[in-house]
Amino acid sequence: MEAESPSFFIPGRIIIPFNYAAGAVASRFFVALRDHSKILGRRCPQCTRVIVPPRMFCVRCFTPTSQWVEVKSTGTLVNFTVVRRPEPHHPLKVPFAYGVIQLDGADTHLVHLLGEIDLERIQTGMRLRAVFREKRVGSILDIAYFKPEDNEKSS
Amino acid sequence: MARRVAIVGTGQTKHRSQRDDVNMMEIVYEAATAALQDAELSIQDIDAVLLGNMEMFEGRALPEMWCGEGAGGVYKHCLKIATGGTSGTSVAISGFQHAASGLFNIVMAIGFEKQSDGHTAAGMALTDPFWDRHVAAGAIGNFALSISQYVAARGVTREQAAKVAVKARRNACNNPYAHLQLPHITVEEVLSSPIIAYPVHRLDMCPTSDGACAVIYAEETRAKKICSRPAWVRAAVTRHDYSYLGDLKDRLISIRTLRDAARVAYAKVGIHEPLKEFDVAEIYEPVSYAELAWYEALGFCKEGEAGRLIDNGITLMDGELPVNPSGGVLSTNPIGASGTIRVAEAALQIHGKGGKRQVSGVNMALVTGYGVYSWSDVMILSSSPG
Amino acid sequence: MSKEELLRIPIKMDLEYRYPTGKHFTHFFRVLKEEGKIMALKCPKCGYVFLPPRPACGECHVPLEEWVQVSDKGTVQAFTAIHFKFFDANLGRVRPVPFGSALIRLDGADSSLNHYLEENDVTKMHIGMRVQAVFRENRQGNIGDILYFRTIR
Repeated sequence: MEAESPSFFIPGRIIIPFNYAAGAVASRFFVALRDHSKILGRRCPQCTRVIVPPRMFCVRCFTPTSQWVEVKSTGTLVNFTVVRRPEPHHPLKVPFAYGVIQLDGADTHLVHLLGEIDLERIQTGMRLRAVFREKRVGSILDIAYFKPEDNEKSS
Repeated sequence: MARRVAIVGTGQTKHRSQRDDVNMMEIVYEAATAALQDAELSIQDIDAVLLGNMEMFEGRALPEMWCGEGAGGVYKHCLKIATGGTSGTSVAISGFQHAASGLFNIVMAIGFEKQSDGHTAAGMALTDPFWDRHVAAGAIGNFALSISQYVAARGVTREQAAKVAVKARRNACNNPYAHLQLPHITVEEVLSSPIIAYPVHRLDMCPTSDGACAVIYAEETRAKKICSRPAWVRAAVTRHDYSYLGDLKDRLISIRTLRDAARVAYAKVGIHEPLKEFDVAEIYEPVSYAELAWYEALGFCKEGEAGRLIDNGITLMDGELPVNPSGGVLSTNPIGASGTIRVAEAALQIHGKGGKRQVSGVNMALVTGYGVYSWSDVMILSSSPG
Repeated sequence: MSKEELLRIPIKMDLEYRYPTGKHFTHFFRVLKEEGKIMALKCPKCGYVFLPPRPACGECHVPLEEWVQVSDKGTVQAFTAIHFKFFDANLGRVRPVPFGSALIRLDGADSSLNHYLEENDVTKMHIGMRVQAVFRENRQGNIGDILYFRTIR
């Protein structure tokens, strides 16, 4: 059968308000961000890694994590990218950067936005500091972004 | 030629309508660790991890990626199976096939659903955009249409359907994992609950639950070492049909997929009189009327006799063939896990770990899975490898 | 010790899609829109007439090419009235209830179409009752061009 042209289109729209349970461990992490601007991790009793963001169990050891550990809000940039093409779901207008960050005291990495930063001069190994929002709600974006710790570098 | 494989351990979460204390990955971890503990194995012993889930409900793409970690699938063979309501039994059957193939020795299959994160009806409304979506009213609407045909053809009464609902929620009281436990529920209570879609009352229908369930398979040599009374898989059959309700011939009345899957499974094992030869059955009954239709399709009775079976108490705990000692889907329904729970509950009956819901002398167990629209899975487990 | 606060993170999914009707369905929707007629596909092997039309016969595994017109009148094969309120992901809100819904075999077809009934009182519905399609004024080329089926004597 020959295709008739042009084809018809049926428009579709999917609207579902999701309400994701964070779980007890992630909840405590978000509450610490919201109420105290503190970043918490969990330690695995077997491999002793401090996991940030915290997990109920250590994926490597398949064992429940056992201890809350407060990590610093400073860290080192492990990797990064600069986004230049706009998409509707982006949290910021392009161009913007985000990266993989190892906080001081953590053994794992956090993914977050980079701000107050010259996009052309980002380097892995840079020292960064978390910038907390004034109004915090219990979300990873209670940290607005990470900025260079060195005050000379700014956008 | 397939190897002999048995279920050597099972684990499940305490199912309830909302688990706020765990996220999706953590609920999978709970079931996985429970099964490992039951089998006295560690995650290092597992060669493959299979996940079963109906993705849209939780609003996360690639739940297998998240839950691969929760299930211990890191650095192992890991995949997800999604076949609607049959996801739970499909993943269980796939687990069996992985081990039976000779490629994997110890396999864990996990069904899960974190229903409270989303909207079940909203997720179900994402059917075919050309023909179905404009009128679809979730699985309930689908069942209600099918039931109007079933009732007209086979003459079951609302009271008989309500008896199924009563049996399920009372049985659930013996099951520490079940969601809906209603020790005092009566037929009158079911029939006075609001009609959700004619003729289905609210208490005729399954709940939505957060939950996960894991089963562990081992090939013959290892199974005999790990487990004192393994639940041997003697048959595993899946059958699917048209996906649009209007295309299906007869739908719930004769449900040809279940009839055919049962026929093949029975022939494999040599079952001729299922009512006599099975010691327990865990069947997937999302609505009370469906269980009556399944009695006929599974050959427990002739067509038109299902009402008599429930009236005479044949399928009660003290009847000739206890059906759903666990409380069934009518009591617990985390959709991706519901089928796996049937497998686990049948297996633990053979293991002798049924506690207050244990049926005595279980050697042959029947398991079924069901999915909209008319997909059917059948497994037969036995205390003997055959 | 205070009770642990357990958080839920609300995120609303709102996605738009655009489904091309493709080779087979385009013909159906074009004729429905332009001529107000309902077309079905017939299997050359078993003669089964599929409405909605299907690219292939599920029993015979052969492609379907022969279009036949079916009537706008048909017989109810299954029926219900939906009473429970549910969130309709396509509307983005709760769908108004109660509404009547049925599987309708249009005269000339062998399979059934799932659609709305004008009637929502089940005491006035039965298997075998005769219904007729009521069309939308300005047809657009989708299944909503049939608004519902009304009971006819």
